[in-house]
Amino acid sequence: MKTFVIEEFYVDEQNRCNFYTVKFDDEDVSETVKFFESYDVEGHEFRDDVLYITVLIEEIAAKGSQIIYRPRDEARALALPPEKMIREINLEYTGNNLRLYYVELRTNIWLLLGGGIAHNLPKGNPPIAFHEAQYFVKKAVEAYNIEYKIHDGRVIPANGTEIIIY
Amino acid sequence: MINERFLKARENVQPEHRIFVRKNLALIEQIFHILNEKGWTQKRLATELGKSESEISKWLSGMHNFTFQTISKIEAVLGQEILVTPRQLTQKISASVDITAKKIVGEVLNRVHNEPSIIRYDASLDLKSDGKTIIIEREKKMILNKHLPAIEVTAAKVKYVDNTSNHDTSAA
Repeated sequence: MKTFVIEEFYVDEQNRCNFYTVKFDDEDVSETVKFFESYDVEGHEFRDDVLYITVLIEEIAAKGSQIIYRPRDEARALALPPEKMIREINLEYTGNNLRLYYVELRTNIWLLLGGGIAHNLPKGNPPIAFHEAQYFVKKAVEAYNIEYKIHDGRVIPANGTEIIIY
Repeated sequence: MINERFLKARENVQPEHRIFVRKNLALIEQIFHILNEKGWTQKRLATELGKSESEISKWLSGMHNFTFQTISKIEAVLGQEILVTPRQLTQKISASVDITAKKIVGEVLNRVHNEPSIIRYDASLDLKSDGKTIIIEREKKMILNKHLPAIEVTAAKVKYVDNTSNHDTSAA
């Protein structure tokens, strides 16, 4: 059995969107920290990509998720990926050569799942495989419904901080 | 709480990274602004460009590296500019202000010529521009007449379309 906890990643009262991340209980750091540790490295070929994502997170935090996710009626129909997603939630990616996966629990609460090289590139090896990510999302949604409350742009654990994933 | 590793990444961000992301987001905002004005969906934009909806969705996700060729194609189908240089913007604003200034000068000369009792006529404008239109937020006129008390006339939010060959004025 493996469990993970939800940690604050970039949560601030000034933010219009707060970011959380996930950490498996047998790991020292969260999946998102692993992502940054892997690519925010001097001389890494994809360092610019991870720094672009860093700025994008800052911009979304400051201005809100609508800067990349427009409140248009058609938006959800066009969300990627289209077919194999569970219905309640979107999982999208950002970046060029890298993908940082996230779940939008609310427009102002995003859960970062970690990431890696884009799965459609030759070296693509996102740490969380796509189907696993969807299962992960499903569990996060269950947890969101059962064990966590969302209040004032923050995720508040109600029944402990652990979520069983498998 | 801000994760320490994220703080470290932020320290490594260079000005060009911020410029890239912010310009990209500004470009997308402009595209959506025009789509909303025209009542177009992303699907319509995709059709006009001969691209798939998913491709356009990716373009508008905030991190697409737009080429000038792509920008030109988008401008062509939208029939509007989405990328304007500061110099182009200055020229547009200058042209619009010039038209406005000429209009005011003409009005002042006309009033003074037709009404010799006027001893002083002041006009001032507060301008605001988003690069596409010039909004005169406040237009103030002070007319001093030998025989009458001073007249102060204030109009607000007068819109001048920036197209110099087809300028339009309308009071809000």
